[in-house]
Amino acid sequence: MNHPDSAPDAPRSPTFRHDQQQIGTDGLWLFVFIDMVIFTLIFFVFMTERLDEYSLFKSSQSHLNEIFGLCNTLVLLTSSWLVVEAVHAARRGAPKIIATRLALALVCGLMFVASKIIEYRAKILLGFSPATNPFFSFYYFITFVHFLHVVAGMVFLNSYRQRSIRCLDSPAYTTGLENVGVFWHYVDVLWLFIFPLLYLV
Amino acid sequence: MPFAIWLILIACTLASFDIFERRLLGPLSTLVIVTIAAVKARLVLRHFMEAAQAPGNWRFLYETWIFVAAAIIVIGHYVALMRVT
Repeated sequence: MNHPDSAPDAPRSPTFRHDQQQIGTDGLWLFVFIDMVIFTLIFFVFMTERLDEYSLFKSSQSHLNEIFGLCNTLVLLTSSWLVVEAVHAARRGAPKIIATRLALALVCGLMFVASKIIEYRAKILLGFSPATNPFFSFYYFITFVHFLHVVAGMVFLNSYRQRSIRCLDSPAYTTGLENVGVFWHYVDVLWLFIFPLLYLV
Repeated sequence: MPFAIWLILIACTLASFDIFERRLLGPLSTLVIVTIAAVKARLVLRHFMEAAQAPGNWRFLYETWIFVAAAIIVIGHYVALMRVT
């Protein structure tokens, strides 16, 4: 049972969690909510500053390439779906499926990271730095804080990918993976708002 | 059906991007694009986070957050437009 290859994908044991239990832990939902409130304030300050310097914000925004934003959105939505599949696999005790889904979700995360690095590099080569004007200060600040969330999420995804066999004997593994899932979906939801805020509106 | 939800999310993303690229709705486009973003966020919350089974009242607070975040962007945008014109 300790070797991944010897573990069949559909065994059941009494230690399994029931599907009707609550998702994740209270603390994680609270943590994410605090993060949400902080981002609400950032959105509010951005929109308030934009009121006073509307033309500057609009002209600066036109230098962003919304294709990057679109690709980021598609990649994050896809990774979120893969993580849902992994969480469902954990509930039915299928470590191989968890490992492959989380690996694919990590590939999506890496694509996001690569896309961000290319985008930042292109902006800096064009001469737009965080010190250029208020719009670019917000652009770099908001996207970079979000980027750090993605990197943190990837660290957790990878740790659960490596321990996927634990889903067979530890209910805590499944709860933990649900927590990681809630956080990862939140990072996705955050981007769903950041994309129109910075690129489209 | 996570896969069906994923398909809807991708379709919504492409639709709102098309509205933006072709300037289909003029000044209304911001309202539509942000509303689509909020609908997508709610789909992720309900079907991916499975917030119905979240402990305590988190589902209610998260749904409220989605509404507030969308409202800040929409109201802020139209107030700015009114000031400019």
